[in-house]
Amino acid sequence: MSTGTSTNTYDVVVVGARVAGASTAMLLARAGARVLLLERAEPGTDTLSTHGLMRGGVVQLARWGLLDRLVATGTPAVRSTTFHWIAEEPVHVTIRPGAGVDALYAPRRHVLDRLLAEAAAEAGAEVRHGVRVTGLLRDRNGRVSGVRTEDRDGRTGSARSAYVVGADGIRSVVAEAAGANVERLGRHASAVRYAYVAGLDAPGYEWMYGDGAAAGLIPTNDGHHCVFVATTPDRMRTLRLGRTADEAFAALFHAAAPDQAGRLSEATRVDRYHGWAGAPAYLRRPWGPGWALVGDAGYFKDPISTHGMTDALRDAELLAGALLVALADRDLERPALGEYHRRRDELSTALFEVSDEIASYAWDIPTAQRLLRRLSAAMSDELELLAALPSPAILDDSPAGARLA
Amino acid sequence: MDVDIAMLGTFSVTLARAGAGVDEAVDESAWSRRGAAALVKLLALAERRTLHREQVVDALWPTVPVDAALPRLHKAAHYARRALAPTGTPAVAADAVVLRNDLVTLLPGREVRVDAVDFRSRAESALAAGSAEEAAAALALYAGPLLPEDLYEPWAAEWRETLTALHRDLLRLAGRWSDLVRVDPTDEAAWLALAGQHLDRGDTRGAERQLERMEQALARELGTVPSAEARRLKERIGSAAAPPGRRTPGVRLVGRRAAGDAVREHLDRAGAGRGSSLLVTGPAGVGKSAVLDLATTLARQRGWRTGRGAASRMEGAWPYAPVLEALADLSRQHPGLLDGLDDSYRQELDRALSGEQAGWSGETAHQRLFVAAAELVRLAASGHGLLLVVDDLHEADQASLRLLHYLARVAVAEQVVVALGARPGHHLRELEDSLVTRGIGHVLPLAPLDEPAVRRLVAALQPDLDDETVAEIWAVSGGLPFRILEACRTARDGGGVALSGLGGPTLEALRRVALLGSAFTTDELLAVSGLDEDATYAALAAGLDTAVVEPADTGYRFRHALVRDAVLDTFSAHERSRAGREVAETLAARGAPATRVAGLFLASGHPVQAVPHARRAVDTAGALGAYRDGLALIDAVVDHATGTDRAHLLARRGDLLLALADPAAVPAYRAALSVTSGTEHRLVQARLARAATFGGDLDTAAAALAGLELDGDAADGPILLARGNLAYFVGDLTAADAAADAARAVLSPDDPWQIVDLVALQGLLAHQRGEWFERFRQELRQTLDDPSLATAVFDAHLCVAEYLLYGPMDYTEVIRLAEQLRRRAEHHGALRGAAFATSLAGEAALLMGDLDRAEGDLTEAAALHRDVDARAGEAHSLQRLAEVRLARGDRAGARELLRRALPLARWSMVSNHLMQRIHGSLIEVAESPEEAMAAVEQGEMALGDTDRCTFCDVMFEVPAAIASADAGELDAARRHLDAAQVSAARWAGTAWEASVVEAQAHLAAATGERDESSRLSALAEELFTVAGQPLDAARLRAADGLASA
Repeated sequence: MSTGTSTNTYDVVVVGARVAGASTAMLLARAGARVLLLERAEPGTDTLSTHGLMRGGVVQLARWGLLDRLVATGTPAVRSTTFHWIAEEPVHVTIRPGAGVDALYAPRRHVLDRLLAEAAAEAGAEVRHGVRVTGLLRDRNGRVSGVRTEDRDGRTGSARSAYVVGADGIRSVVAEAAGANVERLGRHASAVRYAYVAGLDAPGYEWMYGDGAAAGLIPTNDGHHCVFVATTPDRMRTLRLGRTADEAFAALFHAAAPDQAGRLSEATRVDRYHGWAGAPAYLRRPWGPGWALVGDAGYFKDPISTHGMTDALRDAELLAGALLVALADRDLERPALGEYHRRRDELSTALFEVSDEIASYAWDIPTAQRLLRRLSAAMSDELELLAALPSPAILDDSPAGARLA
Repeated sequence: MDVDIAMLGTFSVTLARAGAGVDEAVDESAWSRRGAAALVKLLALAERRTLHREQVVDALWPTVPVDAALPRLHKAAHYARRALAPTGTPAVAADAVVLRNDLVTLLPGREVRVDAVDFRSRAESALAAGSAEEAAAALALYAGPLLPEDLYEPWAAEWRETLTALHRDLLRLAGRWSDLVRVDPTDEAAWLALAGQHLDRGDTRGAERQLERMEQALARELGTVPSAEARRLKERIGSAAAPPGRRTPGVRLVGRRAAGDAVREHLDRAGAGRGSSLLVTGPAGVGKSAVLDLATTLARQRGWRTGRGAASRMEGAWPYAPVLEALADLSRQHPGLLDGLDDSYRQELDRALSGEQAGWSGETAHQRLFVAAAELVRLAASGHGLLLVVDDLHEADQASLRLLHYLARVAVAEQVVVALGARPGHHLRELEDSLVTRGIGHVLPLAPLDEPAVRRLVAALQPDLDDETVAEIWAVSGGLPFRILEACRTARDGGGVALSGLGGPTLEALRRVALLGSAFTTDELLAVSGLDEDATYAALAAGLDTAVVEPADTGYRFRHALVRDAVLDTFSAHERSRAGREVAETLAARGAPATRVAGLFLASGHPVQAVPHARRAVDTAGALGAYRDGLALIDAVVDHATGTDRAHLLARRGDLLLALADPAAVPAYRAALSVTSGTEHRLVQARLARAATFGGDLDTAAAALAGLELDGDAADGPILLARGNLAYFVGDLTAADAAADAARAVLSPDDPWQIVDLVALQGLLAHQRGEWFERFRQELRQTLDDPSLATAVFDAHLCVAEYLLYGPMDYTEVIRLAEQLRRRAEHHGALRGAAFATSLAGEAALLMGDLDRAEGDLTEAAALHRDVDARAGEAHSLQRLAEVRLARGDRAGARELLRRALPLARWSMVSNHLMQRIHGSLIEVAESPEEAMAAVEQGEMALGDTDRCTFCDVMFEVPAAIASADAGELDAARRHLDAAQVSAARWAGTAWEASVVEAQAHLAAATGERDESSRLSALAEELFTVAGQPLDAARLRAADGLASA
């Protein structure tokens, strides 16, 4: 059986229609590229996430003209961040207007991912859900030239394209099939448990750092909060012994922020617990002949920084810009994608290192504060880069597309 | 209408006189009881003017338990009823405030109009309707901000915020942009609308000035930059010519290779995490700013962040201005950093940056600004590195120098280079010495260029000049690059600044604006030029054409300090004085900061005119901790002041000196006594008593307090504290206790520095009773549990810590607790507390034998105490540091430190503790028994018989006994040993017992009882070991070995 795409040729096939993939597809399509966006899951499904967008991420949505839509979904505005340190005074930071945005947002993924995929479709990308990529096509020189697919009914097919973008997450089929080397590997990993709760009074982001554990409160859609606790995988495993899931969660929250633990009792959990067992961070080589990686597929850092979506939105634009150059002139593939590689790594190094160190849970509070200071400084660098990006044609959301040619 | 209550812009109550048809305003004096006024205001804002009595108590007396607060409520209600009784009626209007069924109601059943309530309801309906007309009508009801006299009352905060926001929204709806920027100068949309209105009328200049004003307003808020829309508008009206980079960054400097190498070396080392400071010095025109430009360029090439300020930008600017300007510049370039900066730090920086008038209670202020600046520096340095540049430091205020010194020390552990430029001068010597001797910075003196370099520079600038001209330039330029550049620019010799191209009116306008500083805005030029608008713009154009001035980030600046000097030099003395006065008057009329106006009047020789401005400027200086600058200002004007101005200035002089712990505070307050009145007079009396008590002049203190009663005003707390202190020092512990308890009930925990004094007094009382150890642990615990106490740390508790340290305490635990305390204190901006904690950690390290750590912590503690002008703490840390040096065998180094400590300790609240310790150490560092005896005698003379702390006696008596025994002065040895034993008895269970045994061993040796001496020595060693003091134990072991050998 064919999916009907086997005979088509695209400029770019983007594998994965979550934050990184849908954004990349949208930007490419807005610039006139012929884009196929494939996603294994059905539209509007949720995925594991800490939700929080930092200023850089919100700036991207604003620059792309999507922030108003996000606000219209009822996602609450976050106007402050509070850091709780065990046995220390909390630090309160107000989010002031700057770089074109006056608040942060932490949308549920079924809200944001759907919004981005719809924007990609509006821009002219062909969006297909329920289609799994099983492997890559290569030309006679070994250059990647498309993808092999299988839909939910087991029908296989293929799609040819000048470039395949792997935005298919931490277990990326594209990265695996392309042979993307891991260029840097983290040493630590957080195990994280999440819960959605109702009835919590916490209008801003709150991050807590305590006794070998961290926790966070993130206001998201429907009046709910995403509450997470994180520690080392070993501790997370032992914590569960002899305890109910609620008890284990509460015990870890208490370890992270004893002063705040009482607040959890005000709240009601609205669904089951979600867990992440932990995996070390990595930076993979993000491109090769005919392929590129974006989002967690190419660069995964520990979720404790809650910075993954923001980086994905940043890299989507860097990659889309590079691919447009390479599509226009194959000779420029190396410098353009090489530059994408360089800038991604340059902007990611500090975030990568800091997240990895935090994920060791071996810090004392002054060390954690120093790490957070580095994190803030790195986010400032990222913001300056985004603010300085030109407003290229890809930001214009008119779908039609002869511009590329 | 029965009663009309006005709360907007002011507070007043007007009563309708029954039957008389005449309104009667309640006299202001009726509200002198703050509690009564607050109760009426609070109820007037409440729904149906009614609150539950516990709500009232929570709002007005939040720290007092309900049962204790209820009598206050009844008292307040009583006075309110009295105030609200119309003339000619019974003295009390019984139904004005009714307490019934746990509810408190204001004027029940009466028709009452409250302007704030009316305004709120009209404003909300206008906004809901979106009607500009209704907005205008609502605005007519707004007479000003809510209760301006209650600005810091938490119970009014919510209403104030709501009304302020409504007022702004109404202005916006009504399109009253000028009013809007007046109340919110950072409202960019309003500025843009104003600029747009000018443009619509074809008034480009007016539009440009609006944008310049906007930029200036935004520059006063950290990290705020004009939006893309504003930039586009600026481009549209053609004023977009981006200000040129400072001078010529990137240009190769001639003859400055060594300077370039020094800069690179500093950047390299800082890049490796060892930051430092570089002070570039040299005469005017030698190229200091060019070297700082080079540093900026090199730093940026490395991806570092940079921030730059200059002290010459504004003549007589407010405290810390050049340093704040550098931090503001940094934040403008990197606004994203502020997402990581604690709000409280940001507010502190914003407050200082605004240059606005700050009120000062006269009590020692927070040093929070220092901590805030340091945190921003650390944040900016994270990742790549930070170069902070402050130029023209020779023109900086003392407060700036202290802040820079602090930041220079912060830089040491960060990727930070602090680069400073200054002409050499006396007032920088301390900074220079400190940077160098502490190894935290270097001085880079720039000499004029030599002849080959001058020739190379000329060749680069004007390759065609003939040899004779070049030789002449070399001869007359003195090798100063500025003069060489000027000579080349005009292709003439002499190297002076060429002003000949400026016509009379142009020169007049420019030299008048030059009085303001090296930078100015178009508005300022228009205001002071003395010309009409067209002529002023023509003068500006001429100044730009001749490169006398150039565009700056906001407005314009003189191309070089020497160009400005040359412009000013065209004034005769008389002309300058007259122009200076006119300019100062103009600035005053424009509402410029008082510090600036006062400075201009003074600089032009008009001290009388400066007085009212200086009065306000001194308060700002006090509030920002810039005490020495405040004193300098008072000294400059006080002899020209009369009446209440003079009274206030004299009282402030005492406050500033007291804040600096200067003994001259006593005569200063005495001078203020005869001219002050009311609460200010009572405060002066209380503070005189405090200063005199600490200075040991108890008669003066008693006289100052005689007949002083509590009166329900702001002086009550200080009076009670002064009574307590005096009672303590005359030995009446019961009275001291009672006064301290009474003070505890009156003082608000929101005033941490009075609480510090109180905690200190109660600490001293506990000390006297021998209960310090428990008390200290309790305070420490409370500090950890109750953040509000963390600011009130133990400045005066240096001797308290001895209990902790000499007792059987785990020193690593002490260090851990001290570190925790330090972090918390720093967070609260209580640098004195942080300094104390650092010193405590250093002492613990010293006693447990970790000399490296002790050296580091105590050096830091001494510096921190010095930064915040805490002399006692500095003396204490230096004395401990001397012990570290002594333990390392560096007697000379130890002596030097003690020499520095002595004058600092002499006049401080804890001198009676510190002096004994310092003199004790001076005995120990002596090179020979003779020298040691001389030190004993000196100590005895200095300490005298009075004012001695019997606890701390042991610290002098033990070394004195040992020295006397070693010198064969057996009588003296026995006398000191007896005194040591009496004192040590109060230190049961501490290492001082070991010290006394050690002294006994020396006496036994001196009397020939060798076996007894050895036994005692071994016992002392054991006792030191038990007390956890390995160094002392080792010292005795070594001495024992030596004796056996």
